[in-house]
Amino acid sequence: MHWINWVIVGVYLIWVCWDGIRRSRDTSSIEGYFLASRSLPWWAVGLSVMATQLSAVTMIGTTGQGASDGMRFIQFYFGLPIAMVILGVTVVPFLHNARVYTAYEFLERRFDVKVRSLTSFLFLISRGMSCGAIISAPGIVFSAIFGWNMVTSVVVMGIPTVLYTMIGGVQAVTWADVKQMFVIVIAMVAIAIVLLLKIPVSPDDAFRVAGAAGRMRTFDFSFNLNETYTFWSGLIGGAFLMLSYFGTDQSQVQRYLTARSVDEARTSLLMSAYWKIPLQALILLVGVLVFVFYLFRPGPLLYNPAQEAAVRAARPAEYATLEQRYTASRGASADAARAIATDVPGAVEKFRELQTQTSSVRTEALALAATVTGASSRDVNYIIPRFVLHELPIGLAGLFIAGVMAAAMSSIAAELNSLSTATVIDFYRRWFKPEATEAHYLRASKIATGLWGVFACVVATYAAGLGSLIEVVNRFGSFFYGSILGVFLLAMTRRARPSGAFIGLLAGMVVVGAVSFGAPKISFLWHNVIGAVTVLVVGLGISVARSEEKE
Amino acid sequence: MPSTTATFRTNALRVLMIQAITLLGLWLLQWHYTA
Repeated sequence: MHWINWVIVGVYLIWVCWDGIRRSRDTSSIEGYFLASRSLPWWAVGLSVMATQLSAVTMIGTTGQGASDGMRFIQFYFGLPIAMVILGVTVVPFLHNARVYTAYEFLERRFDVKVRSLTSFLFLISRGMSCGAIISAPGIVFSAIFGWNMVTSVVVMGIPTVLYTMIGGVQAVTWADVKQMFVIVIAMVAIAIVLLLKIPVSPDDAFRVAGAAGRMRTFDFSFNLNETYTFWSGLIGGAFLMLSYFGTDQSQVQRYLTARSVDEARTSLLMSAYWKIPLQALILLVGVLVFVFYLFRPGPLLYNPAQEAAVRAARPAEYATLEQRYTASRGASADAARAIATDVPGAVEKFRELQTQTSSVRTEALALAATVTGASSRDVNYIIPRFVLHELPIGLAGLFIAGVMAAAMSSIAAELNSLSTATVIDFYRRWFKPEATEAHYLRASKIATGLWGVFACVVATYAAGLGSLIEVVNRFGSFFYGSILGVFLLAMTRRARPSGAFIGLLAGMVVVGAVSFGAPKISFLWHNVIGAVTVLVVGLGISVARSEEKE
Repeated sequence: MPSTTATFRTNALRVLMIQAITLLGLWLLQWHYTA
């Protein structure tokens, strides 16, 4: 990579750290450290909510998915706006008015300490692990492109993030998120513009070609539980997932607890509801345009350079044959794509046929790579980095890498900050040291942030072999998410009792676990619905039965 | 149920309507380019 790109990445890293540490002067109490003394404006909170959700996986994996699979993935977010409105009416005012530090603290007030401790513990496990996966996601890509080992990637991104989160607390996290969101959006818009300029046909023709390859297919209205992304799984399963994520996951709840008032907290969520789908559409469209770009420009057979080098060294003859076939069918594909642009009759059918041929050569190459390297053969996550490094003008590549780091760091920071809050407020202060000075808790919080940072970095170095990045992150959460949402829904009903909530929560997790192992084909988006409904039914059933027994 | 302000209700409705229009736009894009 050109040195100017490295300078941009370096300046960005120093800027974020310096600004984060500068803000530490505002954090002399734990309310300041964890909740910014509930003083932040809605737009900063809203940007922070969005930056936390948008991780490096989104920048690399989602664009890659756009290139290989088209716009379908956007259905995942269809439930988000509905979830945000529901949360604005229900959970946000409950939590904000309760003046709590963690969402789980609210559960002790409504039920008992058992429910609080269990939910908080589940959050610590799932988020602690997923934080590791979030650091490792860009690390895997950096290792393949720059030849960095995972430790270097973890050091470059993990250490600055741990540092500013530890010293500056939630203020540093939020204001870094605001900057990071700008870096991310500017990077994506710039890439989209460069792509439109570089593709040799008009934007309209580019989309027609993408459409002929099925990349513009956004909606799947089939009610198929085994299909991960359909309109219904996104709208219903997605709404439940987003309700759980934004309503009960401390890494998000803590963002809007820092808002000045209930109304500002609500507005921050509405801001995310407003921008999320258009932003995801932009990210996926960038992926689709990269696909069209590589139709007209010679692209590699395998996008992961490390994988390609390994295959080339181990099976040179076999790989050369595959490459020849690929070049031939790709060249014909490009001609057919041009024919589509000039309205030649029958061009679409010809193009589709050649696309099937091209992708079957790619499948063979990926299978060969899997036998040679013994690792996962997917290379979706390398498509965009490859494009960025080889095709973007100097400066923009640096901006994109900074954007990927920004996306990773904003998510890691929010998670470390919330992991530390849950550890100190729900466990340390609740169980071990209920009466201590502010200074003591502040020190404990900083130490907890540091320790979680170290834990996440260690997990990151081992998370590499876990398969598709996006699914790893979502799968960690989906085991508990729906069930925890169920407990919060129970908390809002009048009849629910503590024992009902506790047993309901356990039942929800058992049922989700059973479904996940017994019927592994059912899309994970439905797990959240199953978990939440089980907790509600079992929890209310037990509560009603117990209160009748007493009567 | 906690009360909501009129501003929130108006904003929420507006957001939902705009999202519905966005989805319609995406559907039209799909219809136009994959037909």
